[in-house]
Parts: sequence; structure tokens; C-alpha cells
Amino acid sequence: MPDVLLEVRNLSVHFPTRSGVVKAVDGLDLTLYRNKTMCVVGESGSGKSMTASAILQLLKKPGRIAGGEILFHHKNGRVVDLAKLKANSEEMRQIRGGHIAMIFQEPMTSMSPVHTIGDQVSEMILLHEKVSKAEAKARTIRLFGRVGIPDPEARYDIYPFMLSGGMRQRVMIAMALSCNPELLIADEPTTALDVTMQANVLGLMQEVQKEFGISIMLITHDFGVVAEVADDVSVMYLGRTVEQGEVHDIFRAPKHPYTRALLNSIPKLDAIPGHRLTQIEGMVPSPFNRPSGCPFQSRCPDRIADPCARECPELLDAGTSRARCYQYDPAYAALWQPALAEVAK
Amino acid sequence: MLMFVLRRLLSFAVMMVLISIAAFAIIQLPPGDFITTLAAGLERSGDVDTAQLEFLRQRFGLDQPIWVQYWRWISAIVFHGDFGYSFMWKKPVADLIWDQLGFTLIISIATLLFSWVISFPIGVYSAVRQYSWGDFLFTFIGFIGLAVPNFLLALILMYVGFQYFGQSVGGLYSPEFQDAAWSWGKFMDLLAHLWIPIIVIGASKTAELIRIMRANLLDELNKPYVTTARAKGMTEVRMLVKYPIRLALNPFVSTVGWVLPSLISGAVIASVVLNLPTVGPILLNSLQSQDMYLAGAFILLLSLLTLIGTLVSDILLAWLDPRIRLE
Amino acid sequence: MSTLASSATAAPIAVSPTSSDDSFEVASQWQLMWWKFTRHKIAVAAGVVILLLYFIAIFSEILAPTDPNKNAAAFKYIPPQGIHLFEDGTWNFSPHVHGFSFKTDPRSFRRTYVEDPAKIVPIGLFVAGEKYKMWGLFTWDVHLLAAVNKRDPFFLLGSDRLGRDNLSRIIHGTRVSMSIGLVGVSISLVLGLILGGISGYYGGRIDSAIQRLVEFLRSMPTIPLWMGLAAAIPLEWPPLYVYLIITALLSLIGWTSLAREVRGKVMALKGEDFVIAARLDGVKERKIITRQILPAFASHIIAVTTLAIPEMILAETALSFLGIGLQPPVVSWGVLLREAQNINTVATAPWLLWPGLFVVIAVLAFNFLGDGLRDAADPYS
Repeated sequence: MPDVLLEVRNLSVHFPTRSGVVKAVDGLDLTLYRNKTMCVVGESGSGKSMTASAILQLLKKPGRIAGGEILFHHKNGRVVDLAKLKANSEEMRQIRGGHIAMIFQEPMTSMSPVHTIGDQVSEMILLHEKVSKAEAKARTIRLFGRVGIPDPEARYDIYPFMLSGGMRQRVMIAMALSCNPELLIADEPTTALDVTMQANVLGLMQEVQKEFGISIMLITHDFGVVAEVADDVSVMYLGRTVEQGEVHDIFRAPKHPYTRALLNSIPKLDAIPGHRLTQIEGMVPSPFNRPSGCPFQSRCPDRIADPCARECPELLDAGTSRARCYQYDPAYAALWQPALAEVAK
Repeated sequence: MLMFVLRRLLSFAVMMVLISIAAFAIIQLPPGDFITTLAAGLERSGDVDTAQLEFLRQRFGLDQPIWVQYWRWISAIVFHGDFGYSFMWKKPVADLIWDQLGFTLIISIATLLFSWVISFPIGVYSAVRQYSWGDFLFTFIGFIGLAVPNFLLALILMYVGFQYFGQSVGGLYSPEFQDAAWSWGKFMDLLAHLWIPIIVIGASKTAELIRIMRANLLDELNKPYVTTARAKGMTEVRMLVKYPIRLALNPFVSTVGWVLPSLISGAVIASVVLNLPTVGPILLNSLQSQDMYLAGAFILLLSLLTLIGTLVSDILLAWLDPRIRLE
Repeated sequence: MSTLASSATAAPIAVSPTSSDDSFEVASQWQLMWWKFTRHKIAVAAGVVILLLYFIAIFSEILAPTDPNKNAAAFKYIPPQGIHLFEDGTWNFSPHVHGFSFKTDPRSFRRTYVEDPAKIVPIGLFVAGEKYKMWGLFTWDVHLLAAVNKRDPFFLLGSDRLGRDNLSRIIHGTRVSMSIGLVGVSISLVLGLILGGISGYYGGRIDSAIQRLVEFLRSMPTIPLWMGLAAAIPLEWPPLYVYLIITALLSLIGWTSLAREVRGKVMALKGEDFVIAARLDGVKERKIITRQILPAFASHIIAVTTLAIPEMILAETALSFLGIGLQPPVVSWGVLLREAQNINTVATAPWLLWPGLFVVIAVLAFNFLGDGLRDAADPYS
């Protein structure tokens, strides 16, 4: 059994608006292991970024955690429920940056434009550790060197706008690593970069993961990225995890109809020329009137009205991975047998 | 930075030339040249000094083409500090203007500082506690402040002071200090009178600055770097001060550029009502009696003041914002 | 996250009026704006106030109890009179105000007015009073509310130093002050659209030239500049000329902020796909501007224009107050406030500050309306 670092259980994030409550995250389950990379995949609006913000209690108003647990396992075995901590409490602030660091999609706007990069990185060290300014500076320069910023000493005093996007993301990674966190949450870190930069930054993240011995939770909508870096994959749809498992199993044998549909919609090199990509039918339902029962049922090719329209199952053991679909519930599995037999033919 | 300052200084010089032309154009606007006007006035009072009129005509080159006239006027100002002659006061303009300009400057700058000191914390409060009762209250007061013309505010304050406190609110000194030499007492008396013009002139600008500060800070609070800073584990207050408030300060500082001109404008009107010894009353007077060299000198110098204000705010902004400084 | 947030607010707008799926498809941009605007209660109220003010401006002759320039030496500085609906002590309906008797202070010899309940001044609705020329077209004499006998004193908001009716003057001043905002803003708008549009669309040298001009005008202290220009207007000019010139002077500065707004919008829009598509299709430049770009930000322009009107009104008020704007016999709120310039006058006749209240209300209403319009101008956010 791998070593568990973070467990999210039945997490809900609600946004009260004038015309009703938006359930951005609705009963989410997620398990992260030490020294592993977990990719959280989903369409925009599926609640993946929201989950990341919720873990560090950084939700924008009026969003709030409406229920569930976020269990962080300290090295000494102590378990803290981050969902219960106050957003501005001392303990939460120690977790932020100290134990869980985060990097964001837009390296351009994620740093203050009027402070030097050195200042912004060494500030993090000074916040969490009792070291002198000179020492923090020396460590920052070492980190800059480590993440591949050329001439780090001279770069210490420059401003973010003087760096390219890829370099800025390297600074963000350096900042995230500065206090030796156990978990690095990366929210679409390569989306804003061009392709070569993406590969560089992803490569760097893999390197530092091994070197520093950290876990990474990578949020993305790009299966190419998933294939490259993930150990585990969690697929999200409308605020829920619909499937979770090891990356090879998910790619080889996706269990949930949504995962299958997603993988089918990706262009492949060995595709038959002229063959059209399959697209997922219908649209993502409005967060105001999500269907009762399984959130995917309105677009699901395998839907059977009863039970799918009635209720949504928990994550069920589907052999190689776990999926939230009645197909894998022994009580209902029989309903799908004829159809599956047909597919097999 | 040096390049930036040099470039700004260059455009400052160009602006100044343009403004001097505009001021000169205003001097020329009244129909007929002023010597004719003067002569007509003198005839009425019966003491025409033809020799003096001829001297003046020579002095300002009135028989010359217009650009020569402009050159004579501006070169006398630049090289000799000679702003021309006031026919109303029968004195060189240069002897008349400096006291009033000094007071205008003191009152405008005091008002600017007052507006900043008041609006900055209120703007920060309103943004950080958006939609709280305090925010609504300040927003409401702000709207009123925007809508009440400052001379009306002056009238109301004067009326209230007169009616309920039995004291006259106008002027900068109590009668006993009016002609007294400078002393500690006179200085304190000045301070005691100064707050009314400051409130009158500054009210609407303060209201506007509160709105600007609030909007700026709300903008900044939504930017990703705020989340980054929170994710570092900073305390909320420390985060606010170091990042969003610091950044919202930039556009706030750059407001000097246009707040100062409008404060000077406001001071002109309010001074007429409050009877303050600033440029206002004397400028109004000179315009009404078409004492154009006096009026032109004031317009020129007031414009110069506002240009200096803009220059200072631009340099301040560059100093605060590396994106401008290192561009 | 951003997509989620936008769908969260876009959805309720679409469903609020009928909540049927069709309305989502057919609601035009203007309809969406209207829905959004009507949710802004204060802005709607401000809009009603402004309509009311323009109503007063249009029908000022009828709404004013009397001729604004009719003076009566006997009724100097009369304080506002209260309306009594019934005959004293009985329930006989007979609306009236009380007349005055004079009392001379034996020591200072100052004449003061004392309300005299014995003197009844009957008033009525739609009574024939002072004759006037309606809109300069035909002569009429009906007033909405006036003293039945036109020689009787009837001063709901008091009278001024020449015994003129304050209320009638304010009502007529409304016409001038409110229209100067409109006329001035129209001139600013034309200038701002043309210069801002050219600046934003063509860019380059023309742009920087126009931008320098804008910067130049904005860095001048406006009041001294206006004062200088306004003072140059010959005193013997007819009032209408002065009115037009003053309006033009105010627009001279006012257009700069509109031009900036237009420039920014045009610059942003000219890179948009639909504009580029039009250009690739070989559509003429002028047509691109008038057919593609202008409609795309008309709503913003309306909002910005609304916010520019109060500035005009304030500027006119200030100039007239100083005596270098509009000149009597034209009445505007600023001209009226000039009567209250002296503290002694204000102390004797505080009701002369009433026009100030109208200024404040008008400026507030325009600001609230403009804010509401600006929010509504972007119906998808």
C-alpha cells in the first residue's frame, strides 16, 4: 500500500449567487500518494481548479467549502483536516507554502509586476523559516540555478516583465520548492506556454519531483500532458471524480463512459485518414440545473434510465480502476450485459 | 530612468510653449487691442497721456505682426520676469501676482495632501470590505461630494457658520491679524482658517479619489498574484499592504496630474466666494475689466503649475513602477 | 474557473424574464441591456428624475406660476409661503396662501415681512395668469398653479431682491441648465467620435498628434481657461449667442474624455475577427467604421455621454455663478445662484440657495443613471 499524503473525501464547494447556489464541486473524492504525480483531468468548468483552491482554502468569494474532508497526512503521522481550519489561521498559513505549494496557469499575472523576482521568492523562505535575509537570498539564487535560470545572481534583482513566459514559470517553480513542500499543486502550469516551453517545464517538474521527493497534483485538460507525467489519473466531470486509477490502466482500459468519450475525442497519430474525431454529444449542463442522478447521463451513450437518472453511485471498483458508474455495481451490472456482449461481437 | 526623465522634460517644454501661445491668444481675444480700450477708458476719465500710450504701443510692438508681439511678450517674461503692465492697478504685473500665486499654491497643495490622506484609507477600507455598511456609507457620501459644486458647499458652510456660530467663515485671517506682521499667533490663525477652504475645495476631489482608490484596489484584489501571495502563507494584512495596496498606489499617484489642475480651478472659484487672497478674485476681476496682461500672466502661471504637477506625478510613477522606469 | 463564473451570471439574465429556452436564443443585445438596467433600481429611479427634469424644461412656461422676470419692488425677499388647503378654521376647500404686512423695525429702519393670516391669496390650478409666448410660437396665459389674481403675492420658494418669483425662475432655469448639458454633450460627442475614432482606427502619427492635443487640453486648469475665453465674449452680444458660445467652450474641454474612450474601444475592436473579416471582404474603410465598429460600442458611448452631462452642468453653473457665463435676463441655475453670492444675502434669504438643490439633484441623477448604463452596457458580464 503506497503512502497516503492527501485524502479528499466527499468535498463540496458552493457558490451562492443571486439565482441559486452553484455547486462547483459536489461530493468529490481524491487520494494522493507520496512521491507520485496525480493528474486531475476534466473540461473547463468541471471544478478542477476549484478543488485546488479549496485544498489551500484560497477560494474566491463567495465560494466556500460546504462539506467534506481534506485530510493532510503529516510526516509524523498526524492527520489534519484542512477543510476544518480557518482560512487565515496560523496553521493554515503554515500549510500554505510550507507543506503544500501551488503554481498557477498564468506566470505573467501570478507575480507582482513591481517587485523583483528575487524578493518574491526569498519572501517565501523568510515567511516559513527563521533564516537571515542574506541566507534566504543565497538559497533563492541556488534555487534559480536549479530550475534552470541562467545567471541567477544577476537575475535576482530583475522584474517579472523582463522574463519570458517559460522563465517566469521556472521562477514560480523555484518559489514553490523554496520551503521543501511535500505537495506541489500545479494548476494548468503549461497552458499559457508554447509547446517547447511546455515540454521543458514539465520535464523540470519531473526532475524536481524525484530530487526533492514531493508529490505533484497536476491539473490539466491535456491528455498529452497526462500521458507524459502522470502516475495516477483522476477524471472529473461537473464537480465529481468519475474515474480514478493508474495512468496506464486509464489509457488502456477506460472504465467510465465519460473517460472513454474523452479519450476518443483526442486526435491520434495512427488514426485512419479522413476518419472524423468522435465528439461528446450534447453540452455540459448548466451548473444551475444539473440533472438528478448521474451528472453525465444526459450525454452518456450507455445510459439506462433506471438507475442512471435516479442516483449517482460512489466510486466503484471497476477492475483496473475505480469509476462512478452503475455498470460496475454488481446489483445493476446485469442490465448492461446484452449491450456489452454486442460491443464484444 | 534618466532617459525617461529627459523625455518627460522635453515634452514638458513643448507643452509649456503651447500653453504660452494659448495664454497669449487669450490676451488677444478681446476685440481691438487693449491700448485702444485703455485709451477709451482714459478719455472717459479725462486724462489721456498720449506719450505713455505711444510708449506702451512700442513696448508691446502693437504695430508689429502678431508673432513679433508674442515673442516680445514671452521673451520679456522668460528673460526679465516682466509680465507686462496692469492697467487696472497701474503697476507692472510682476509686482502683483506672486503673493496670490503663493497662496494658491499653498492652498492647492494642502488640499491635495488632505484629499490623499482622507481618501487613501477610506478607499482601501471600502474595497477590502466591499458592500459592507461602511462601504455603502462612504459611497453615498462620495456621490454627494461629487454632486455638490464647491462654491455651493462654500455658501452653505458660510451660511451655517453665520447662522449658528455667529462667525464669518471667509478670509484666511481674523480681522485682528489681517495686516499684522507674521507671528506665531498669525500662523495659528491662518491654520484655523485654512481648513474651511481645504474642505470646500477638496470635498469633490476627495470623493472622486475614494472612488478611484476603491476601484483600483478591487481590480488588484482580483488579480492572480494576490492568490499567489496568499498561497505563500502570508497573513492577510501583510499581503494586502505589500501587494495589492502597493500596486493600487500607482494609478492613485498618477492622479496628481489631473487632480492638481482641477484643485487649482476649484480654488479659483471657491476663493471668490470665501474671499481668499488667492489668484481667484483678482483673476476674475482682471478678466471682467479686460486687464489682459494680468489675466494672461495668471493663466500662464497656473498652467505652468499644473504642468509641473503632471511632471512630478509622472516621475513619481516611474519611480514607483519598474515597468515604466525600465521600459 | 472563469468559464464557470461567466456562465453562472449569464444564465440568470437569459432566464429571468420568461425562463423559456427561446428567450435565450432571441434576446437581442439591447434587450439584455434593458433587463440588466432595470435590475439597477437606483439607476432606474435616477432615469425617472431626469425625465421629470426634462419635462419641467419643456413645459416651463406652464409649470411656472408666473413670469420669471416680473419684478415687484413691494415684494422683495419674501420668504417661502406655505399652502393652506382649507379656509381657516373650517373644512371649506379653498386653497390659498397668506399675504403679508410690513413691519418696520423702529431702530434699524429695516423692513420685515410678517405673515398676515387675515390676507388671503386664493390660488388655483390652471389659472389664467401672466401672458407668455409658449415655445416662442403662440401666446397663452395658463399656469399649472398660480395665484388667481396675478397681482397677488404668491411665492412658494420665496422671492429675490427684485421681488421676482424664485420658483418660476428655477423652473425656467431648468430649461437652460438642462439643455446646455445636452447641447454641450452633443458637440463633445461629435468631436470625440470623430477625433477619437480617427485616432484609434488609423493609429500612427495621426493618433499621436491627436493624443498630444488631448493631453494638452487636459493639462490646462479648466476654470481659468474657461474664464479667459468666456470673458472675451463681448457684453453686447445677444443672450442666445452667448449661450451657444458658452456651450461650445464647455465642449472644447469635454470632448477629450469621450475621445479617449472612443479611441480605446476602436483600438480594441479593430483587431476583432469580424472587423478583420469585413476588411478582407473589401468593405470600404468608412463603412467598416460606421457599420461594424460604431454599433459595437454604441452602448458604452451612451453611458460615457450620460456621465459627461453633469460635468457640463456643473461647469456652466460655476461660470454663470462667477458672472462670466450666461448673463441675465437668461436664467440658469448658475445665474440664479449668483443672486446668493454674498453671505449677507444668503443670511437674509437662504431660500435663494434652492437652485443649488436642483443642481445637486440633476448631477446626482445623471451620475447614477450613467453608472447604471455603464454596468448594463456590458450585458454578458
